[in-house]
Amino acid sequence: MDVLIVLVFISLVLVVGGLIFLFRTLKEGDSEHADRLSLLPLAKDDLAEGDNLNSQSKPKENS
Amino acid sequence: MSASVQTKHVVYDDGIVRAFTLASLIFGVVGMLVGVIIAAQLSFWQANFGISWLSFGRLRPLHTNAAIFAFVGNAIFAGVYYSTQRLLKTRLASDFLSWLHFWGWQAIIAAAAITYPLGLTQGKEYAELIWPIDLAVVVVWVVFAINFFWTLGKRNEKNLYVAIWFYISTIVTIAVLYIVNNLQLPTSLVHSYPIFAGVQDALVQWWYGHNAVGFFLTTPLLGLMYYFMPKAAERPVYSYRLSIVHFWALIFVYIWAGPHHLLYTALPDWAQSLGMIFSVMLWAPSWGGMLNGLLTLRGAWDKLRTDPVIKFYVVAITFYGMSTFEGPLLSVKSVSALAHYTDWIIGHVHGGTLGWNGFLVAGIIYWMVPRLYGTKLFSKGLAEAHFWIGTLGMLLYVVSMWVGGVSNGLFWRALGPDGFLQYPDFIEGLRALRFLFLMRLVGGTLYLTGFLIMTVNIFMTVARGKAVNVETDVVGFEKTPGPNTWKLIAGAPMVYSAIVIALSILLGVSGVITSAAVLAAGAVVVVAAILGIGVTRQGQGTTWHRFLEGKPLAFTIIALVAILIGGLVEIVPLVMIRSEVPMMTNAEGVMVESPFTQQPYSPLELAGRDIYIREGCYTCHSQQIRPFRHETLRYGEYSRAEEFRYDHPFQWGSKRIGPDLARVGGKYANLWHYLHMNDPRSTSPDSNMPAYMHLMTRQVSTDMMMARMEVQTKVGVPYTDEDIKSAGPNILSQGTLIADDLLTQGVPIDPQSEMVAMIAYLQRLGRGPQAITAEEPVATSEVN
Repeated sequence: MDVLIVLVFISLVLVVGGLIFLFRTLKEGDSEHADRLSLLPLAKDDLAEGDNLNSQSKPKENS
Repeated sequence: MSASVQTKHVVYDDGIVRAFTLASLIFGVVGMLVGVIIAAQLSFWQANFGISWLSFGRLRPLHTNAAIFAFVGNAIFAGVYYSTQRLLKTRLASDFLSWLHFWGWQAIIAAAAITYPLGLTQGKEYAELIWPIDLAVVVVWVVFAINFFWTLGKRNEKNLYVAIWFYISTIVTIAVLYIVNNLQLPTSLVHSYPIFAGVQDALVQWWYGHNAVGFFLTTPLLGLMYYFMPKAAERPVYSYRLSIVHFWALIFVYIWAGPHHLLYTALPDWAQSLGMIFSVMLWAPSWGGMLNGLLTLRGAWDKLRTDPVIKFYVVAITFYGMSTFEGPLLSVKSVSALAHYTDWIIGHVHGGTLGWNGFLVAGIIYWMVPRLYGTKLFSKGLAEAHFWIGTLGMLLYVVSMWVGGVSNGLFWRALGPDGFLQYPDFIEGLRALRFLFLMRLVGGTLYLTGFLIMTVNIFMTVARGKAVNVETDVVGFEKTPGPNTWKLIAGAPMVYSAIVIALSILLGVSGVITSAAVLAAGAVVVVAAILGIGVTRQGQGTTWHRFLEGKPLAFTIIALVAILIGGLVEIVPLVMIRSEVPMMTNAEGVMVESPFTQQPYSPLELAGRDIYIREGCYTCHSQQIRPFRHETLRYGEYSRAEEFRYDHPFQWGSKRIGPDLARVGGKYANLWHYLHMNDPRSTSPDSNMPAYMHLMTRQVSTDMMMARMEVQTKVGVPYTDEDIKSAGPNILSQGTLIADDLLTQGVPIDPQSEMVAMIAYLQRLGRGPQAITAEEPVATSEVN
């Protein structure tokens, strides 16, 4: 039974902590940074499939 | 724009990516082909053609190592080099190091392919490479690390994307695991003994083995998933914030889970419980990552119909989810009691490697190769064929192993109404698996067929394209003020984490009343941390983790600390303890080791043990009897930790294709062992064990055994100088006892042959020399 008390207690702490964290994050609204980083893999820094190049290079703009 | 920020022209090194990709394909075919061959040997023992270096025990390490380190390893390096350059907007730091890494890794693979069939092995699963090759692995890994971190240093993107975090954790963790698990003393250029023995060696090995799965087959591939999935889906990752939680939770928790491979063994119970608890906890971050990967496809699920790359990714991530559910399930003690040593584990492992690793790599290669060669994929139809044939193969393989594993586990534990074993003959269980072994062979062959189709498709794509190195203009980043590396490491989240971890450890060792206080303190700290980290700004509205993403050194140090904690907490106490050794008070009232405790192996038995390791017997036979009635009835008294104290390395095994051998000593006559190793079917009809006739023609070298005993003393085995000096006569006298016994039954044999050494070792298993009389062996009447 001891272990059940420990488990329930830890679970409640995590749930309460998680809710506090969630509401604080929503209130801060600071998701621009994450948005910018998550776009990194989508940069046009590789060839599109089927680009049959004669030269060895294809310069691309990268912001 | 500041004057310090400049536009730079960058040419990516895609040549190294192409090289690793093609190497991955070639070694993938080899590794899977060897897998099919050994699967065939399970059904048809003749499939080794009577050649010792094609036997199951020698080829199985070749299959596992080729699949893990050659196929997946080369694919990881290809993907890491491709994505790192683009995520950091810079070329790899050194072309020389890149190619040194490539050729060094291929040389290691070639060396493994030669040494394993020759029986040159350490006898530890997934760590079989002999010490000179281990040194080469360390050197090549350091080359990779220097090249990677040097590239981080010259990057043109300040913040490190989540994929890079996973690569960092892979590099530092594999270095730690590999070095610690391979601490060994050489006895010759091709042989060594690990410094750890028995229980300690088992814990270190499975700390390594489990985390080789975690940090070689999981974290780098998760990094690749976080890069290549958004690429193919043309969508950003579902939740960047979730990826932060996913990363830190996964690497911290994963490292603790190793002992789940040793449940109900002689490993101390506290270590087993830690392994089980952290394995169950691992489910949460694993599924967080899986959902993050799958939900990246939101709004793009239509691609699943048309794009084979997405198909491979979705099935791969789904298999990741299945495996990371199954892993925690199998780590629950009562489930492990049924599943351990059975094919369920093999099914679980292959769900991960064939499904998660194999299909993710396939998707990446299908996506990357056309772009690396400036052309289109040769045939989408062939890619579709690969997908469906491979999926069917996987399902056949995994389902047959699940069914075989569960039924075999139930078979072993079945007791009759009289309370005794319902199926006392082990071979009956093997007979019941025959059909499922065939299904496994068919499934594996189908998977290999799909892979061959991909290989042809990719090489045709390469043939019609032209190697292209992408060039691009990038804008560097401006250095912004912020906390330095050491301030970040001593930041609030680290302090809070340290307090919570310390309280958790205290909780583990405290009593009930103290526990309540510790829990209350822990709750306060957790809530304070969540509130505190949220409001603690490190200046300019930037959070601690955002700064950390721009500081590779701080990030690496914190990741290293996160993975070290679990290993230290589990391994250090176990290496220090001596409580497993029976003690007694002598005539002077001083506590000394009991004389009835385990004694070192005789030189001939040690030689036999080394042969047992060389032949890979541990791939089919365990040496660990668990404390269950059905096991003690079948094999004898359950195993105790002190029995293995001189076992360098431990040989507990992880699979029972054959029966446990921990107490086989004295169970059968010498003649039985002789007949069994010459022709296993003569004593055990329907056995699928290979014959070991070559042991008859090879002799034990006295000089070699003296050198090995000398090294054994350095790792803690109490051989005296006299023991070592008299090794030659000792080998001859013990061998002659066995040879004379065989001669009385019409079998002439060289007393110094490897066959005699192997018999001496097997007859010793489960018994100290004090329990063996001079008239050994006693049982000569039965040969079945």
